[in-house]
Amino acid sequence: MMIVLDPRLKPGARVVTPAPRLASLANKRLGILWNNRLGGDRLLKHVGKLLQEKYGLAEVYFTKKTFIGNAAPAEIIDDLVSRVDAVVVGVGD
Amino acid sequence: MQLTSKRIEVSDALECVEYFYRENMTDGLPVVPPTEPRVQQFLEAVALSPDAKIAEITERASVITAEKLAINAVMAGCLPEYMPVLVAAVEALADPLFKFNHLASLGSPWPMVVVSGPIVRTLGMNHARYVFGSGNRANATIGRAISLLLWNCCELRPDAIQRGDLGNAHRYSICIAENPDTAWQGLNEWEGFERTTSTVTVSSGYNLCNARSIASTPRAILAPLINALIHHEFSPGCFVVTIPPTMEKPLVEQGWTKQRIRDYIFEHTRRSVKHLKETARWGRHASVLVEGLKDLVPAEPGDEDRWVYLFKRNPELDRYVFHEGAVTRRADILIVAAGGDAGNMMGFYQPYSQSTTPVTKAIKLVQKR
Repeated sequence: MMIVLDPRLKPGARVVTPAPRLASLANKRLGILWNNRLGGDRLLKHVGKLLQEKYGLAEVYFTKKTFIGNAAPAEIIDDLVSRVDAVVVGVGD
Repeated sequence: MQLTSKRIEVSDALECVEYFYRENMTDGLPVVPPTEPRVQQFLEAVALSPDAKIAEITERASVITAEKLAINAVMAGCLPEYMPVLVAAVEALADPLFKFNHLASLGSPWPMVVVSGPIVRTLGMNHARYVFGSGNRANATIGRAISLLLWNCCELRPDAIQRGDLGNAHRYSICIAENPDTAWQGLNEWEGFERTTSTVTVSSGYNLCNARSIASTPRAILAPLINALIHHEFSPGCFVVTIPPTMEKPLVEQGWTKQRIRDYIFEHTRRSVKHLKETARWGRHASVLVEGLKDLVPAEPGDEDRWVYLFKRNPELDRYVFHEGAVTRRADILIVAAGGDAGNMMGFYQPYSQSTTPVTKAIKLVQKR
């Protein structure tokens, strides 16, 4: 018999705490955070348009990171927190 | 202090190997069973408690503890004395300059580990023939430990965030060492440390490329390297270049330092706009629509005399060729004195095209009592 150790991070070891979810997007201010990846701006602006049409958003605020591979810097997060109620983010080409 | 990882009961070492396959806890190769006594030995080698935080990889919301690093290092087949190198490598991977999430790219980049300084001799690392492997335990298992750690603790798996189109043969392990007796300044010194300070550099790239030369003069030695550099992905950044002792000697004798070589390469790595257009490297996605199909951008008179440099910036032309992230990051040639003593082969690790910068950290050694 042999006892070995689990090499993975423990479940729950990650430090992310998701923000509370909104009950509805109606009359809410929506932020869109583009990761600066080619073509993503067009896709995300279209997503904003569709959400606007479907839910009647109060505002769509579009902003971008300088680079996909880093977490958004604090100033961008703070800007979004001060301006909007929810944010759409995504990774991909 | 007690280890806190989940205990797994297996009948023997072979069953352990099979269990780790079933639970997707290995990168595709068998592992050494990470038993508690063995893991404790690894922690003692760096005098760290199991819960000591080595680094936080913000982009993955992952805190790498000494315990998890030690477990994965045991699995990789490391010896305890490799732990200081691994600690420094993980610190480098977590540095914001490394831009960790680029490892999810469809380009399949992977970090190469370069060890420089006196620890190369202490650990018996290979800096000579077959430097890129296989065969040397330290080189092979230090690289493998990084592979397993990122697999198990940072979601760098094809079933998780790793989305490369082709994958990367170096994904299992890539770690090289620099000749500590090089006549040049070491990579550790190039990166701002003392020659007596051992360092780890992590540099993310796609693949190893080679450039062969049997010449004697510096410009002739470097010509094939320059040719190879500009005909791969032609994207600015930091290139790790290995130069073997057989080429180091004539370069040194003719007064060529690493700095002079770097400056020469900077001056001569260029392609004409005509060539870039003909090879689909001009324009974002390098194409124009012709009857609904993407085609090459047609060359114009004079394009053969307009030059785009790999390491010298010209915003007017650069914007048609390079990604914004590539032209704003550090551009450099990190020369590593390494390679075979019988050959004529230089090598370079093609850097990931759009982002990430090599990061170097000092290796902290524990004083033995």
